[in-house]
Amino acid sequence: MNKTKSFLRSPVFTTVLFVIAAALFLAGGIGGTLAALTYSDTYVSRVEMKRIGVSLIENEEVISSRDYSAAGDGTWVTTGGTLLSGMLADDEMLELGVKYPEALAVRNSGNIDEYVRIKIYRYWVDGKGNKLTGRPTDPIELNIITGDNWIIDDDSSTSERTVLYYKKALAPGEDTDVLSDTLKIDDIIATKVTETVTRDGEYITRTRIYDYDGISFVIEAEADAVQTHSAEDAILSAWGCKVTIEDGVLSLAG
Amino acid sequence: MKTDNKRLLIMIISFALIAALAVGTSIAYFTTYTAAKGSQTIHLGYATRISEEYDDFAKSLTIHNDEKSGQYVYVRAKAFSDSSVEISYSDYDGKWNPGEDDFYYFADPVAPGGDTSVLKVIMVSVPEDPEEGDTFNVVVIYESTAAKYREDGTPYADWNEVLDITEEEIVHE
Repeated sequence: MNKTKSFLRSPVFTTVLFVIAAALFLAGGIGGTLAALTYSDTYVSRVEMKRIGVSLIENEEVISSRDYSAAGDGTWVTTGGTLLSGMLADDEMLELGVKYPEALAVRNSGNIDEYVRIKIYRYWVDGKGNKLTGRPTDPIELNIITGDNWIIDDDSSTSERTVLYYKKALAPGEDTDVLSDTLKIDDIIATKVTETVTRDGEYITRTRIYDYDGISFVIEAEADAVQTHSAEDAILSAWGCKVTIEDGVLSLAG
Repeated sequence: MKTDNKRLLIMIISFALIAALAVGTSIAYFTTYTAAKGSQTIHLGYATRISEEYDDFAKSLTIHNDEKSGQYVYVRAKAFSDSSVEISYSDYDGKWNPGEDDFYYFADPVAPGGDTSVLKVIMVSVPEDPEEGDTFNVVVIYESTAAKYREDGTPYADWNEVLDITEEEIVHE
């Protein structure tokens, strides 16, 4: 007993403890990092690597995606496209009041289950691409369909931004229900006119300019995905949103 | 005493390293995201002009929508004369149709750079042998309005559209 006490108090024990702790930290740290990034050669042949991935779908076409690389080298495979690029034919003019197809959805392009959310932005920009914050966004009518599985987060949504969460976990390769079906620009904008009256002596000149001529509307979508394991904590950590998940069904907390 | 403090410090560091390892593992979540955006530009405003050709007591009218116009337009036209001249209209393709307000309406929206077909305004009651110095006037007016669209893309004309005008005044002294 005295020998044990003596050993525990000895500098040798302290040194050994420190060395073990440092070794564990280094090994554990490397191991933890590699768990997310890669596996050793031995495991490559036996274990399928866990890869998260998400794709944004517009009218059944993949517009953009970001998937963890199957090579396991810590890289991401990303693709980027432009929304609304197929909205009009080359010589077609945008007509106000017409409903154009705009079916947006999210796909799980990884190999693990995941929860997803999407943020949709709509706004106006001038000819130089500067955001026109004073313009109402109501005339940009993206018809949102929540259906049975999408939930709008009203607390995070504004007139410019709509935040939607998908209630169900998506399996690898699975698409969400579409969250929108059409896009229309209200023709009320064609009635908005500024008339400049110039008085020069006896002469009066009236010039009318359409307020929305030459400006552009923008639709922006950002899809986020997170693992289903410890999903409530993961969502709070990654998205800063408190959710509850019961029987795999996500709902917004309070 | 100094040696004991050193040992205590080393032991604390050792436990802290192990604790840090546990925390590090628990917050490593799999997440990803992707984003895209797109835009379309609004083109509003248009300019039209009328062309007239006169021949044998008839005016042949066409109305042109300027190439730089941002919109399709609908057009209508009618002619006025003094009471001595009776007027009739004709066209060759049936696109000009009379309305209840004496205007003739061109059926299709005219694309930027496009023209209507010809509307012929015929003076039918001109004296057969007019004498030198006899005069009469036939005045043609036309109006245009930007095409509007139903949700399915069907175009229509709204001749009663009211503009929401914001007025700004500039005075040159």
